[in-house]
Amino acid sequence: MNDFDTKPRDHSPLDDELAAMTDSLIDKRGFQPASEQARDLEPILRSLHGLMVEEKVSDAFASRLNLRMEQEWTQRQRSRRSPQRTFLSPTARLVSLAAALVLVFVTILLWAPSPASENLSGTVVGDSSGLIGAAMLIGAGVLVFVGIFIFRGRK
Amino acid sequence: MLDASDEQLAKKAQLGDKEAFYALYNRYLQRVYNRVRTKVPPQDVEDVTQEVFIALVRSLDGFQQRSRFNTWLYTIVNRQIADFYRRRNRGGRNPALEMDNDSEIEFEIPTTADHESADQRLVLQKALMSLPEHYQEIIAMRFADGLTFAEIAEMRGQSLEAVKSLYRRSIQAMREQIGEESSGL
Repeated sequence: MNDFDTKPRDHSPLDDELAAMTDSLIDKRGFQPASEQARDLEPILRSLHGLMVEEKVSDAFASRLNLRMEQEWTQRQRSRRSPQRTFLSPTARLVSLAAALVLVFVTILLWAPSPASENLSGTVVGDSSGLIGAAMLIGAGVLVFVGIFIFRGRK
Repeated sequence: MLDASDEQLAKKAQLGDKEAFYALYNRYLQRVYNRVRTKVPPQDVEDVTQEVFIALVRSLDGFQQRSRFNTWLYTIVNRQIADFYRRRNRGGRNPALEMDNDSEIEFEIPTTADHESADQRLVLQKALMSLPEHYQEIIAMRFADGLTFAEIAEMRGQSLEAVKSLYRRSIQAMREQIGEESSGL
C-alpha cells in the first residue's frame, strides 16, 4: 500500500487533530493542541503558514503581467495562422503529399510508352510539347492549390 | 464563462478564445504566485510567475485533456522553478546569498531580524523542496491553494481520511527535514 491509496494506511486521531489545527491556523482561529505529538508539530504548521501565508499579487505586477500576456497571446495567434504552421497540420501534410503523388503518377503515365506501341517500330512524326504542356498544366494546378491553401491560412 | 470548468476553458483557449484564456489566467494567477512564493526567494517570485504564464501560453496546445488542467499547470510551475534554480546554479550564484545581496541593491540595511527571517525562510524552502513530490503537493494544496481537506480529497479521488493521513505524514517528514536542514546550517 502506498500514499496514493484511497484508504488510509494508519489513520490516527493525530490526523484529525493536525487537520483541525491547520484549518484553525488558516482561518485565524485560536487552537490548543491536545496531544503531545500535535504540540511537537505545531511549530512546523506555524512555519509553513508563515511561509505560505497569502500575499496578494501587487497591482503593478498584475498590470505588467497583463501586458506581457497580451503580447504572448497576440504572438501565439499570429503564429497559429502562419503558412509554416498551416503545413504543420496533419491534414495539410496529407493533402500536399497526395497532390505530389498525383503529380508524379500523372507525369509517369504521360511519359511512359503505351504497351500497344511497344512492338511497333517507326518514327513518330510531330512534337511532344503536348505531353510536356499537360505535365506543366498539372504542376501549375498543384501550385495554385498550394497557393490558395497558404492564402486561406493567412486570413 | 465563470461557471465553465478549467478543462472547458482550456479547450476554448486552445481554439483561440481569448476570453477563455483570461478567465483561466485570472483564476490561477494568485495560486501560481502563492506556489512560486513557497519555493523561490522573494525578489524572484514575480519573474518566475511571469515565466510560468509565458510557458502556459506557449504550450497551451500541448494540454491534451488527459489530466486535470491544474495538474498540468502545476507541472509547468514545478518545471519553471527547477529551471530557475538550474539557471542560478549555472551562473554560480547562491539564492541564499542573493537575498542579502538584493537587500543591498534596494539600499535597505538588513537587520539581524531580517537575516534570521531570510535564513528561516531558506531552511523551510529547502526542507519543503526536499520532500517527496506528493508530500509537497498536499501541503501546497492546503496552504498555497487554500483548498479544504474535503476539496483536496475530491480532487485527488481519495477519502478524507486518506488525505488527512497523507497530510500528517507530510508534516512529520517536514519536521524531520527541517531538523536536518537546521543542523546543516
